[in-house]
Amino acid sequence: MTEGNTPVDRRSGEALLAVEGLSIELERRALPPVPIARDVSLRVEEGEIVGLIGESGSGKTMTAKSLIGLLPERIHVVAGRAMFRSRDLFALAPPQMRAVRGAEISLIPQDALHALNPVQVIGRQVGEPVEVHTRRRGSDVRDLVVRLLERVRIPNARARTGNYPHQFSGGMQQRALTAMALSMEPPLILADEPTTALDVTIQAEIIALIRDLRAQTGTSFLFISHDLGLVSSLCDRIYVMYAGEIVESGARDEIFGRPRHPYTRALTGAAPRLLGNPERLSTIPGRIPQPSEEIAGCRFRDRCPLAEPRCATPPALREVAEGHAARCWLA
Amino acid sequence: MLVQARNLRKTFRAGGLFRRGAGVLALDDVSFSLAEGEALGVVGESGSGKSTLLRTILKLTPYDAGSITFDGAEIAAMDRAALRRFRQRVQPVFQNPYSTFNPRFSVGASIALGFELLGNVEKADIPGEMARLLDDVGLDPDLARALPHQLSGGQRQRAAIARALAVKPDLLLLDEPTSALDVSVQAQVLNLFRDLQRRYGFSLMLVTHDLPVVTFMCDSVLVMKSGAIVERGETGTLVRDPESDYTRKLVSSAL
Repeated sequence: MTEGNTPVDRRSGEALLAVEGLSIELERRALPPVPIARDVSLRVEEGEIVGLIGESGSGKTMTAKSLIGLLPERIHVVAGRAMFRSRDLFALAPPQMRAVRGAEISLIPQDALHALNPVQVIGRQVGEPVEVHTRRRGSDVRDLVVRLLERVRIPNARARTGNYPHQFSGGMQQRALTAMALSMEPPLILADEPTTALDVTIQAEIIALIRDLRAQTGTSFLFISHDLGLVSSLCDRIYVMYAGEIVESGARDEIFGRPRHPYTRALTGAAPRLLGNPERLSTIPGRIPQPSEEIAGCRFRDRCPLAEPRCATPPALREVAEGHAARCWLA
Repeated sequence: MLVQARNLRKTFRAGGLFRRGAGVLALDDVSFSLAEGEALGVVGESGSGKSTLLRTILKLTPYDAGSITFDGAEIAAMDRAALRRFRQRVQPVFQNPYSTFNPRFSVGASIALGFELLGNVEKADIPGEMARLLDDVGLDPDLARALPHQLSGGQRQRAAIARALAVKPDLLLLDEPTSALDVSVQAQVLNLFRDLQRRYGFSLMLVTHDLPVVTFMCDSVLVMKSGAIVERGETGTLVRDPESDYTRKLVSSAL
C-alpha cells in the first residue's frame, strides 16, 4: 500500500488510470456517514479493457462515477487519488473536471432512454460533446456525427440524425450513446452496464463494437457489469467488488480459471450455463450487507462457507499469484 | 395436454391518432402444447411476441384467430364459473414483483387473498398455512407482516411466488422472473422453482431472453421471432444442434 505522497505504483510503467485508496461515503444528517466504497485501488493500462464486477450495492457504479465527478448529492470522495495523465481527478476543480469529462474520459450509461434528451434530435445530442469541447460547428460537426453513427453501425446514418430518441430502438439508442462517448476520441471510456437492458444478439453487437474500437483506436475501457459471462468474454483484467471493497483482481483467465476468493468462486458457480448445468446452482447464503452495516473482520465472513476464527481480523488485498490478488486469509 | 394452442394470431393495431398503421403481428400462426408437469421455455428478443403469448394464455390479451384450450376447455369460451376456476389454476409471476402487490397491504394480506379465493383454508388455519408457505419459498414467516417496499428484490420475488402458490395452481406462467435479480439471488430463486416444481408438481412456462436460464429450468423450449415460432425442441438438443439461423445466433450470443 502506498503512503501519503509516494508516487503511484510504477511496476508496469505509467498506467492510464491509477486509482489508489479510494473511499466514498454517503453523508447523513445527524448520523455517521455510510461507507460506499472502501480503499479501492485499480489500474487501467493503455488499450486495456478492464472489468469491474459486483452485485447491486457493491459500489461499482459509484466508483466509476467518482472518476468523472458525477457522484450524486451527499455522496463524496473522502480519501484516495485517481491519477490520470499526471493529474489527480479527485483534486480537479469543477471547470477542470468539465474539460476532462466527455473529452478525455467519457461515460456510456446504463439506461439509454433516460440518458437521452427526448425532445432533441439524436444528431444534436451526439455532436454536443464536440460543440462543448471544441470550436467546431455547423456542417463540420454534422459530418462528424454521421461518421460516428456509421461507426456504431446505425444504418442510413445521415437521415437518422434527424430522429428523436423514441424513434430509435433500444439497441440503436445505446449505440447512439456509444457514438456520443466516442465523439472526442477519449483515451478512456467508462461503460456502466451498457448492455444490461438489451437483447442478447444486440448485446453481442455492442460487445463486438467495443472490441473493434479498442483494436482500431487503442481506447481503454473500464467495463462495469454484474454479468460474469459478458465480462469473461470481453475483459483482459477483472476486479471483483463486494460490499464496497475490491475482493479479488487479476487477469481474466486467473479470475475465471483459478478464482481464489470464496465470493468469486460462489459467483462463478451461481450463473446458469448453456450446457452442463448442475442439478442445483451454487448459492451464497444470506444477503449482501447494507453499506451501513458494521461488520467486524472480513465483510464476506457471515456468508462464507470457509470462515475461520482469523477472519474476524479484516484481511488485506494481497498478491496470491503474479498479477492476481485476493482479500482473503485462505486464498 | 394441459395447454394446447392452435394457429394463434394476434395483431396490435398501430398508428397514432390520425393515421391507421398496418399493425404489428404479435402472434403469427402459433401452435404448441404443454404437457402436465412439463417445464417449457419461451425465448426470443423484445418484440418477438413471447410476452403476448403468455398474456394470451392468461386471457389478459384477446387473440384474433386460432384456439387455446386449458385442460381441454377453450379459454375464450369459458363462462364466469369456469373462468374463476381457470384463474385459480393458472398463476403468473412477473419480472417486477413490486407490481404484484398492493403497496398498502402487508405481504401476508396479499397472499391470504389467495386462500380466500380458494376457500379451502379455514380462517383459523390461515396463519399456519401462511407460515408453511413462506417457509417453502425460503422466507422468514415474520415477513408476512412486512409491506412490499420493506423487502429486498429477491425477497419480494419469493413473496410473489408464495402468492402464486397459495391457490395451488396447476400452471405457473413466469415472465422474466429473475432478470431483475443479481446473479447470486437469481441462483436462489431458480433453485427454488425447481424444488417447488418437484414438490408441488405444477407445470410451468418460462418466458425469458436468457437462454442459460432456460437450459437450467426447462425440458423443452420454443424459440420465437417476429411473432412466429421458429424452432421447438428438447432443450439440450436445441442448444447443441440448433436448426434455424436465428436459434444459432441466440446460442452463439449466449456462449
